[in-house]
Amino acid sequence: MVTATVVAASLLLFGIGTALNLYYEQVEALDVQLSEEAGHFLVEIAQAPDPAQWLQQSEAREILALLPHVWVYVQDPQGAIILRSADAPVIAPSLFSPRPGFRNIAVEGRRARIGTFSERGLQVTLVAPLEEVEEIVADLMLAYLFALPLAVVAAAVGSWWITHRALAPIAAITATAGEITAQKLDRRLPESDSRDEIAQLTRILNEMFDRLQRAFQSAQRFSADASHELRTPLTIMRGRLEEALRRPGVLPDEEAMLVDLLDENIRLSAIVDSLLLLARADSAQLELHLAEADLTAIAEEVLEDAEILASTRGIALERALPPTLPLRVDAGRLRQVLLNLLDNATKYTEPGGRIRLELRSAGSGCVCTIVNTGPAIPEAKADRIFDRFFRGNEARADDERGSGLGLSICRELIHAHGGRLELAENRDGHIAFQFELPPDRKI
Amino acid sequence: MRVLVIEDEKKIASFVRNGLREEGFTVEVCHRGDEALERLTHEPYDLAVLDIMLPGRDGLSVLKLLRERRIGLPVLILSARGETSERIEGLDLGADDYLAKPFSIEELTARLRALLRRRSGENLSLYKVDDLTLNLVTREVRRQDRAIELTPREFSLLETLMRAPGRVFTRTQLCERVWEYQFDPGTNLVDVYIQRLRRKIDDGAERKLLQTRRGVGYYLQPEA
Repeated sequence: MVTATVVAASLLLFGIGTALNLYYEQVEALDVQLSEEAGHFLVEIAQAPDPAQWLQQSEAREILALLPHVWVYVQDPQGAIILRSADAPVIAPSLFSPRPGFRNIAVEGRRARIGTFSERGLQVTLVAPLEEVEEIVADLMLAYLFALPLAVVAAAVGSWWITHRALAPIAAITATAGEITAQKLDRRLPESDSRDEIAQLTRILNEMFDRLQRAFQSAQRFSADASHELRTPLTIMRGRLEEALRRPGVLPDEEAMLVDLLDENIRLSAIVDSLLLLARADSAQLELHLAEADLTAIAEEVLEDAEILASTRGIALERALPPTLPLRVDAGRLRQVLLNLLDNATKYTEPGGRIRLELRSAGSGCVCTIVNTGPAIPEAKADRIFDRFFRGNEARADDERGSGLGLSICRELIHAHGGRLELAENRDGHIAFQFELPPDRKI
Repeated sequence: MRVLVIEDEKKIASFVRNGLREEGFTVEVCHRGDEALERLTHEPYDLAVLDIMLPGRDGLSVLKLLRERRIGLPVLILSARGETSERIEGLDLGADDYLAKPFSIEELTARLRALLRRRSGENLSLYKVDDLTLNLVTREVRRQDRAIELTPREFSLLETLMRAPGRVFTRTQLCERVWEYQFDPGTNLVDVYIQRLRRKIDDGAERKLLQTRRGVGYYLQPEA
């Protein structure tokens, strides 16, 4: 569209320019013609012994008759017309110019070119109609106006075709590159033998994909290897501890120690699971098991646990849930996120405070907000709460210990769902964590 | 019951063997995949516990060939990878159950018993401790003739305790089992649920069933 407009405008300007140019060239040619024709006449006047007398002779009239398209007027020094062509109309004296040169005038409503010459006190004026010149220019303009739309269409189609042809390989690269995801990293762009820029771009992109695939594969191998190497000793420790606990005649303080070790073993296994989850998230291998689920039902289930956590601390738990909120999610992972956020909120709310869980649909996705009434998170810490192993409050006196991975895992899980978890508001008495989940995700 | 434990890590194989023997299984151990395939093809076993990463032939391929040879013994897969895709692949290839490492031996024996009961057509869905019954299918819980209403969490907690009567579960273990996602077991969530459960099943009953082992955890057993 833009191309067509630009082409049309420039063609129009070009056309006007051409027409003007043609017009002036034609007029100039006419002037030359008038000068030449006047020339014959002037030579005679110059050579005649008595110009006034010569003009009265039939020879002068014969010369005039040889100039059929030009009207000639000869005036004496007083301005009186002493000779004119047979067919020349009478023209107003004011149209005659006192000085030699060329002008445009109108004679009997027709535009004409007038040329003035003088010789021996006599003024010779030649007048030629401009019709012919105007016709030539008009014909050209007409032809041009007919051709213009065709030219514009041709230019638009042509430029679209050329652009399309030039960009087609890039469109193909974009489409294929879009298909190369973490799951299909072995796909490559089709390479051609030519040596043009597109082929070069394709080769460079393919080399980049090679490196990307190697990096992904080594990350994948790392999490598989780390998983095996960490879990095997944990499995052995756990098995041995359980064996020792089952042995008859275990003394009570031995038992207490073994139980402690077993609990630590389970905690450590949970941390290993969390770290492997984060490692998989980093290499985009976090697996989600998406299915249609009712977020309201999930929230209510989690609230059952949260109620207990909250009530033992004297914290009121409020909720604002729609009757139902169906969405395609990994229900287990979402439960984990909600419980984690609510558990967190409980830890950082003072006794007598309030926690509120809000869920609402937004577009065809949803927004979930968890607000608590605790003190604001200091700014320096607020920036880091999603960092791995970061703990909000080291000074807590009770025996609660998180791994410091909870929020970073929540963020990754929401991210894997295509959403984003953030600290939406942070002021005294009003801390809000919020995440939105987009509508159905394609994997 | 003759069980073949296929596990290349000798220490794991050893405590699994001990644990299963204590539970009355006849246990044999083998450390290689190719050897396991031979033995399972030619000797009559009632159960197989199969690790995935094995020398000789990996566990999934052993399983695949077993099923191709129409050997239908129940197989429980053990894996240290714990990735869901592996679990799904294993179950697709014909495994009967899957357990991620690290696991508790009690969980393993409970699952193996469930596999055997399923095989023998026994009623798998009913757990019974004294006069307390829990039906996994109808999700009914009864003390004598009295029906007990439980929330899903309470049900899951009681189910865990009933699968191994007399065995003590720590808070962390219960947290891991009931709240699969292993959130901070330092909270008193487990204690609160145990109190609720105790009120529902033991209040007004002659014998108390839900016991506390001080400093350790909880277990289900009729009062001595």
